[in-house]
Amino acid sequence: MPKTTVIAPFAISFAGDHPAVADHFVGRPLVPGALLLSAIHAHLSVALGQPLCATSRLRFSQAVLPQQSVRVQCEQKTASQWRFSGAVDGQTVIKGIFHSDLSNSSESEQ
Amino acid sequence: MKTCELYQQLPHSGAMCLLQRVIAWDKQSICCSANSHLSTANPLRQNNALPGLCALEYAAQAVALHGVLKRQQRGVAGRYAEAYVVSSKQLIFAAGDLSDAAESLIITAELTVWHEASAVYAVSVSAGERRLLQGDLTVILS
Repeated sequence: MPKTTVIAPFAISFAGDHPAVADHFVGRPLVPGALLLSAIHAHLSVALGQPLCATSRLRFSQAVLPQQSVRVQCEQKTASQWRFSGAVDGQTVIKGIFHSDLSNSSESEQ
Repeated sequence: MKTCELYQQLPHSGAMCLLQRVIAWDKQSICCSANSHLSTANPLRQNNALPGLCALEYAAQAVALHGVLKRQQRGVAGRYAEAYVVSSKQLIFAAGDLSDAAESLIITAELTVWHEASAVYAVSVSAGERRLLQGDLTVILS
């Protein structure tokens, strides 16, 4: 069996005065999903030591407020796929799969 | 209508209004351009770079602007209070720094499924010949 890369859980949060949060949205500041996803991507790319170039089965299931701590977990699914999820107070806010190569990145892949 | 006036129908404000121009649109699709990826004041910058996945926010805003234009065409009054990406089956993206692309970003979104409160779009973001993001987004506008 090939060696499985283990990624330690980590936390991400954005301050209320983060420039992307302050203007998104007027009167109801929320962390943009792209900002959260790119922060998770940056952490995992470094931790795995390889570029991740695709996502599949991405779900933004709940809005994230500034200063909320998103606890991210990630497990290796196949040689080129890592399943991740982020939760606030135990409630999933984001989940999906990162891929390190472009083959097998469609949703139908199990 | 100017793009900044379209943004007034969306909850985004200030520097988070990322798109500069609607180049073309019809009932099914929209094509926009942006130069905000080159700005050092871009609010999505992290560690002195604009992460490649931030192209997702550009695509989402093109979808939101399309929603505004469609709504205006139908003569529906009022602005959107919420605009969210809820899911994506697949996104392929360039992992590098978006601000390395010297050309304007071209953002396209094509409607594939439309419901009153949610829609699925095929989206792409490119700079010159280079494709920076391609995939699908399911969005909620309300």
